[in-house]
Amino acid sequence: MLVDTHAHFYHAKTPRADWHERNESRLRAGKRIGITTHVASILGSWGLTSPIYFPSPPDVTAGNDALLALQREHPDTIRGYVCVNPNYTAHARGEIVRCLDAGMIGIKLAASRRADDPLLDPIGVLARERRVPVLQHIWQHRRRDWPGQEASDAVELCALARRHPDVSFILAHIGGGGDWLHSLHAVADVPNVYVDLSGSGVDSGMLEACLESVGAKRLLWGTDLTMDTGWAKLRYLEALLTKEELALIRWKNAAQIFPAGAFPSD
Amino acid sequence: MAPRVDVNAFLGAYPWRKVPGTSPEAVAKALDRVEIDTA
Repeated sequence: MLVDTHAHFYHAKTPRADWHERNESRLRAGKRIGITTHVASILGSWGLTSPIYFPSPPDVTAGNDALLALQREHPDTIRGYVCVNPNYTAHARGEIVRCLDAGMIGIKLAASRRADDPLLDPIGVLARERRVPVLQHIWQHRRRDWPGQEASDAVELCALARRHPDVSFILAHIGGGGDWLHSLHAVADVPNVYVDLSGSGVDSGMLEACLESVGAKRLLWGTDLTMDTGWAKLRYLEALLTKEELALIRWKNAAQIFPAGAFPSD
Repeated sequence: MAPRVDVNAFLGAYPWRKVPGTSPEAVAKALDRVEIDTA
């Protein structure tokens, strides 16, 4: 098994005219790589009708609906994170309940609110109640604010994770750019934070440093928007790890933190 | 198998932040792992 813990899809009301083709190409590439499950999210309208990182409640709902439709269309290969904007607490909690009841298996938080903000606590409480992980978009060592988003870094995610020790948090795309060593230092002693290996980057020594920081038991394989470097990282890990360690990163850790039965052969 | 050549390898310190795997020894080890013959 191979679980991509950080995938994305598009839908008709997003900026890409080729949205359907891109969804299909992800599935085709996934087959070639050997991905058995894409655990994906859709961030509202991807910026078409409200900002990517501050999606309006109607856009959040529309994106989640599109993902639910994809999950129904591909029941063996697609699973969903319900994406929410935690600034709208009641809507966010309602979406989580609605989409988990409909078969989604995790929660996606992007950059609508800093990870250590108290507004994320109601999300954490619900994640614990429903026993689902939270994938948090992370800027590896944010040194300043960026327009259009309230990006978080690993230190802020760890503050949230310490307040919710029974919830599994996934630090998104360690290869997504920025100072990943800063993130790895921050998460080393926070056992409920897992590191997803996605992102287009893979600096020299990055995978070795991930293993040194959190070990194979807290690493999750994923691709984000670039599947080719995700595949390259997998190939490198094949040369670096034992079969047992590799299986943890390919799927066993995911099977551990997502709800029982989340994956077809789980 | 045909020789594998990395035609754009990086060696030495990154200019703006610390990256641990760029010493000659670390790069050579990484090349060996993925069976690249020359960089």
